[in-house]
Amino acid sequence: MADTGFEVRLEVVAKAGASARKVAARVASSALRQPGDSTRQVISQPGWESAAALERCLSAWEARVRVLSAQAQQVGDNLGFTTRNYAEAEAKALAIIAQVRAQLDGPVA
Amino acid sequence: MARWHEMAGFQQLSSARPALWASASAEWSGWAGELGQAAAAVNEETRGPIAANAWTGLAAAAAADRIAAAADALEAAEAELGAISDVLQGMAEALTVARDTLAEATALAARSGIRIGPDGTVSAVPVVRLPSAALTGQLAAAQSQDADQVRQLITTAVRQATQADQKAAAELDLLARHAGTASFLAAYNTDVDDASRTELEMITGSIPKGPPGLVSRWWSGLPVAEQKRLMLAAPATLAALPGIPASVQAGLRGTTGVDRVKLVQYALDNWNNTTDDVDTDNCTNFVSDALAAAGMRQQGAFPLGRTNSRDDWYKGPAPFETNRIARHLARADRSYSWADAADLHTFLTSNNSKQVPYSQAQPGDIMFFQRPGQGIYHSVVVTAVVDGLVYYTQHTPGQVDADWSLRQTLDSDRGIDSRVIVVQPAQPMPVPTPKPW
Repeated sequence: MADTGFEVRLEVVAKAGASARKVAARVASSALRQPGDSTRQVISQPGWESAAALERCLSAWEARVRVLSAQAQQVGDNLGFTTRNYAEAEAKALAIIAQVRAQLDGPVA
Repeated sequence: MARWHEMAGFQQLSSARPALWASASAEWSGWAGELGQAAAAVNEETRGPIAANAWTGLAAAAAADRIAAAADALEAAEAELGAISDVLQGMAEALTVARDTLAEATALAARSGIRIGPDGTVSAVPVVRLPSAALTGQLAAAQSQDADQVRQLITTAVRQATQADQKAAAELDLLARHAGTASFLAAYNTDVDDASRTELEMITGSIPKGPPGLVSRWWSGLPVAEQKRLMLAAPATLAALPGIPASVQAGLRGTTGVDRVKLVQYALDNWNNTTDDVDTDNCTNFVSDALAAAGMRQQGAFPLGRTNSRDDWYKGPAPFETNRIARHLARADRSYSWADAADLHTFLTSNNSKQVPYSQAQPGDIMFFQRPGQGIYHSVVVTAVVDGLVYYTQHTPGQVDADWSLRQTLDSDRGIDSRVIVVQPAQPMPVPTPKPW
């Protein structure tokens, strides 16, 4: 049977997730700013096969970078959900323990 | 039909701005850098803490795989965008050469009273009737000859631009199709390699292969700075091209007794040739073979067996065969300096070759890779230098005209501190013969 034990430091995982979300924003923003005016000017030059190919490249890479941003965002979101889920599980476990203790320590008849 | 294409090319070339392509190249390089930084951030701030046991267990392992894949995909994108930048830079270089060729045509036309139409057609301005019919005839004949040269130069310029345009288009389309590449290694080993090779092919392809007279006129019409750039970018092509001045070709070969052109040519011809491989990693065997092909004199003697003296550099005569014993013999008959990068560096720098800063690298130099704590671990041949950036050719794995600065950037973004040492090879001084007792 596989070892299902685990350890987790919630604040570190939460921070790692936040960082991934920041990366996602940075990558998305790069696709809006880059590559820039010179590339657009090259693309607008008629008659060059390479200018037309560069336009196809730009289109493909803008789409790809959006996917990469979404992947980083998903990593960040998942780490966030994970942190919350672990925290909730911990809180539930604590509540159960407290309940059991209360029952055990309940008022003596 | 061919004429229509050429003339359309003339109009485009007349208005082309190579600097714009160079600037676009810089933009893609900048974009690549941003994605590289994003990958580094994922590695350092997300992957690293989780790998350092902040979270363990089955779910943590699955998450770690997912995070690693996201970082890998960003690194792959960085590599691919760097490859696009290389292609655009090659286009800028080739267009510069084509524009210079066109400028030479225009200058010759102006000197000779020849008109170049907006579509590139060449026509002579009628010669003023001179008092002597013979003189008028001579002048008209000279003008006709110049008009032919102007046409040849224009055709050459358009061809230079067209070949670069087609190569760049093919490579950019490939890089567009590979936009989904999610593995850094796949991106680096295929697309980055292809792109830097294409960049160099575009530059080499911009050199006219016409009759010597045309080549000579083309060369002499280039600005000196452009001549120097081409000598660094395409030495082997220029050295073999009739019409390039003999003094230029001699300069390309160098004065150290080791023929730089032969060294580069050997590397370009044999980067993927495995027939003489004797080790799993044959990088330095390959570099030594290139040095030998360039005329570097061997020192030390095979009958002594395998030696590691700093003054020995030799390869014995044992023929290589595919069987195990012959392979063993082939390894044993060469000095350590022949096959080991660090030992070759020691031999060269102890025997008249000079270590120089990266900024002084030239085609025909030997470049050694090193990492802190690991020392020298790899050697390659510098086969081109473009705008101060070194392109190298190596064996096992074979790479031709690979872009060092891009490799270094990619390594750096992946936390690898890669450095190089450049050595300009020179004929070793003869080792004095031991005095008899």
